[in-house]
Amino acid sequence: MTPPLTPHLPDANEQAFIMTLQKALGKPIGPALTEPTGLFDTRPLDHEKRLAAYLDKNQAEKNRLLEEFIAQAKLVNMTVIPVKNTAQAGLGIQELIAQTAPEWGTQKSVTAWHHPLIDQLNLGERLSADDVTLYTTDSSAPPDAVLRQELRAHLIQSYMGITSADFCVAGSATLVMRTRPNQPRAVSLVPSIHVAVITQDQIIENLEELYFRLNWDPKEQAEGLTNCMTFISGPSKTGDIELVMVHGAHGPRQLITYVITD
Amino acid sequence: MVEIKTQYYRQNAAKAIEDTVLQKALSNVQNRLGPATARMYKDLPEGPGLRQKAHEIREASINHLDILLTRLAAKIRDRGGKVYFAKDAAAASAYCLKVARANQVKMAVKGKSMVTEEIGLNPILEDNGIEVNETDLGEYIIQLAGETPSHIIAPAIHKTRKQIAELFTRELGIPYNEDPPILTQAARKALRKKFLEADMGLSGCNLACAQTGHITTVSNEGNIRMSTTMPKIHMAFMGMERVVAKLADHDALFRLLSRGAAAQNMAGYVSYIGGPRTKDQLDGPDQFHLVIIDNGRSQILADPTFREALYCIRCAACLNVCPAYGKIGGHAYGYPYSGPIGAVITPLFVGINRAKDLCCGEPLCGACKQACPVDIDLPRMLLALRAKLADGDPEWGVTRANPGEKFAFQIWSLIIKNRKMYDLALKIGTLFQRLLPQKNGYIPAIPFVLKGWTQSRDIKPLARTSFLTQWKNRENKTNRKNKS
Amino acid sequence: MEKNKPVTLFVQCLVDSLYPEVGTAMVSLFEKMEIPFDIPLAQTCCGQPAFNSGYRKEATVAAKRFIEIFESSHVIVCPSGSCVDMVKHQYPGLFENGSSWQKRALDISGKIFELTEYLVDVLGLEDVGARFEGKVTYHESCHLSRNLGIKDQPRRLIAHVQDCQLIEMEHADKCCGFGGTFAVKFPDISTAILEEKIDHIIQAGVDAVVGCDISCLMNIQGMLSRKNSSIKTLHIAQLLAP
Repeated sequence: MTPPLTPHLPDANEQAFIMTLQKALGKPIGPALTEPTGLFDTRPLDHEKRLAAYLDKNQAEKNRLLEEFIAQAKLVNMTVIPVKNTAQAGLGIQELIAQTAPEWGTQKSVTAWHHPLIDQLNLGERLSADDVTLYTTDSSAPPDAVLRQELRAHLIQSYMGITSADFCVAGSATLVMRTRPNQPRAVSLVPSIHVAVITQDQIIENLEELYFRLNWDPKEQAEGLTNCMTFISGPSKTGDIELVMVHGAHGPRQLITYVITD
Repeated sequence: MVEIKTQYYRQNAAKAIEDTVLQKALSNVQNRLGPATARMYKDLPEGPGLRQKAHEIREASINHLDILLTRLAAKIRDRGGKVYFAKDAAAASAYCLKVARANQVKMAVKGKSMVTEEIGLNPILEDNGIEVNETDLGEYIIQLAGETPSHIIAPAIHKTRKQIAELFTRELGIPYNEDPPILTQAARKALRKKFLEADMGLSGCNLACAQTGHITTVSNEGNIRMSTTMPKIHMAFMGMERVVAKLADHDALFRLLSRGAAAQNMAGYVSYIGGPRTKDQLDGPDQFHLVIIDNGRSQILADPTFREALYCIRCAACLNVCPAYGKIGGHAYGYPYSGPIGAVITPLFVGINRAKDLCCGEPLCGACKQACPVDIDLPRMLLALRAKLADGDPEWGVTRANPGEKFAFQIWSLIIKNRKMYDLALKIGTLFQRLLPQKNGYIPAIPFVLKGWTQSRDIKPLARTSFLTQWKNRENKTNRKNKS
Repeated sequence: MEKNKPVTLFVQCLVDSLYPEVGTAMVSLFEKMEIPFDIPLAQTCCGQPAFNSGYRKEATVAAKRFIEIFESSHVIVCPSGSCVDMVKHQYPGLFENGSSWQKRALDISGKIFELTEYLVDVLGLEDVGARFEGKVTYHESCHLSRNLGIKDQPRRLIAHVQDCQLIEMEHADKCCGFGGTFAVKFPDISTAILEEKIDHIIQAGVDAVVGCDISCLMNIQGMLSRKNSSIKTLHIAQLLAP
């Protein structure tokens, strides 16, 4: 059931605009808009059963989804690295940083989400010895302009952004990420390399499952999509020059996803 | 308002046909994308039949556009976004300018948006001292070149790497290099600066969701994400028909859009945007504005014959299979919307008489309907437009385009109504054609209205005796034989 | 469908006036296969040229006449996909919903067949004992293939022609650029589309190009002739006729 909308009086432009549509559609003209049943989502009768099935995948199912994700990710030039635990993921990222160079400048700077899974990677400790600057997006206090400017400056300097995700859709190798206070959207966008760390449990089958869960899982419903939800299916690319595929356009040039299996 | 050049369809088509560089580019696009999209429809778990389901989804959306837009606007406003309903191009551009001025905007970055081309937004902002930077690589290229897009998805597809290399050397001062990755990197570097310095980001809207109150933007390059994340103001422009009711509708539509547009499973980036940065978020624009545009769409909505044209999700799958577009390219259509969809909506937007060549100048082969991810019956609407041009139409303000042709077909209808008249007409034809030259049993040149044929083809002369006369004679002979 | 009731032939205006040999071939074929048929002498045109140019009133004149002449037939067979598409899919829309003319149009739409469709789908024939020595390629006409869904049937018939080798051209299903009056009203575009089709035919390295629609074939033949090509143009009726 959708919560009632905050009542507001449409401005004159909107009124006139909507009236034009009502006339065009042969509907009665006026403020009353009767919603036909089924226009917006109506809860399917078996939603609890379906949701339970989605939430309760067995190991074989989870392994199949991981395989599917890896296969689809290849098609979009995303690298997927399954690892046993967060320690291995952290180590992997440390090595990745050692092996890669910034696109611009020489100083290696990394920005990471302040996120339970990312925090477990112990990046602060790992990178303190290496000559790498780490910035974590912590906004425990409501961020003021100064803090936001600070993040922006760090991001622009960073050559790698580390995030987690809410879901991973195996069928199209899509990472689904909401925007939250400690999880700014630009971390997966501005730096040249995007590293995502997720758990195997987060891998789901397809868009149908994603939208079902967003609609009918009470946990997902409570949060909603937020004001900005992003789907990422690979690093940036373009075919605008003679249809020749070039990897690396305006978003990150590389996307590596660590999947924690245990 | 964008400049309308639909009256130059024939001349521009002829020019395009002579342009060997363009011809090669168009072949490349169609040979790569046309068959690939068809294959991907077949490979869908639901098969190509998913297109009919998508059609029904769009039909339901359009039939309840009043409800969907009201809800979309309400939800966005609840999140602190602003929604402006623009009845026409001037209103939409004026709103953008007003907001830009109020916020001292000096420079804007822009993701690809056909509706902003339609309303002629860039020149209006630029005339008022606001620098506008196109950020989609194809749009960036044509902006540097001072041209207009030639394809809905790949705007610079008519340019070769050589032409782009020369352009970049001239405009960006980089050393000459034709390698697409190098050229792309140059654009990436140049535009990154713009993204980070821009005061305002402009985008289109791919398919909004009324249920949740979000617009969506779709790209592979990341330019739209950059344009709508880094500047402090984001303004999105939306043709009023670009909305669906339910979130679940996006499942079918995004899968089909990605296949129709670029033969992909899913586009690289899809963003659901429903409002500005919240107080506790670290980034995102301070302001979010959605401009919902009519500009002639409500008239299309009001006509049941053409309402289906509003189901379009601007994927360009029809361009990628159209034999006419494949030879004449996008510029010939003289308006931002080209190809089969352009041939239908451009006349409806700019005037059916004015753009008459667009809806008459294709062979009606039906490949577009087959390729459309939402199964829009474009040929049906082209025929309907031709009917209005043939007989005029007061509702759409159409005057009879060719009274001479009408008269000819009226005579024709009298002739075909009566076999004796028909035989007489054939007889007259056979007499007349004796005056024409013949070569190996063919006529190489035929005058008057039919001379377009013999421009490049010979024509077989009318048979001395028509088949039915031969048959009648044979039957008579048989009957006489039987009688005797 | 009773196979002993005569089949009524609608030959098409272009066959009647320009390519009577196609009509003759169809008659020979039917006689050889012992399919009883009749040919109404009053027939003229299905109305498509007017319809495609937007002249619905005039097309309706043709439609009414067609219906009057043919509606008492048991089955109608026509060697043209575009005419069959016109009768089947466009006639009903020319009349007011629920009118008696519309009902008559709907009735007739259920009993008109394109030639190869009739032979293969209705009569179950694929081998008509034809013989053609040489290589042929097949052009898929737009209305036949997309609007009527007839793709397979002509190819199956060609496959059974003795000594005949079918070589598929590239993009066999791409439009030839005829489009009715489009060919004369927009000759530059029509020619450009046709040039590509001709290139594909020539590249296939064949002796003849076969099709099921004489409108496409006259377009293709016209340019082959202009280019002094030795490639023949054959309607499928001519390929199959004894």
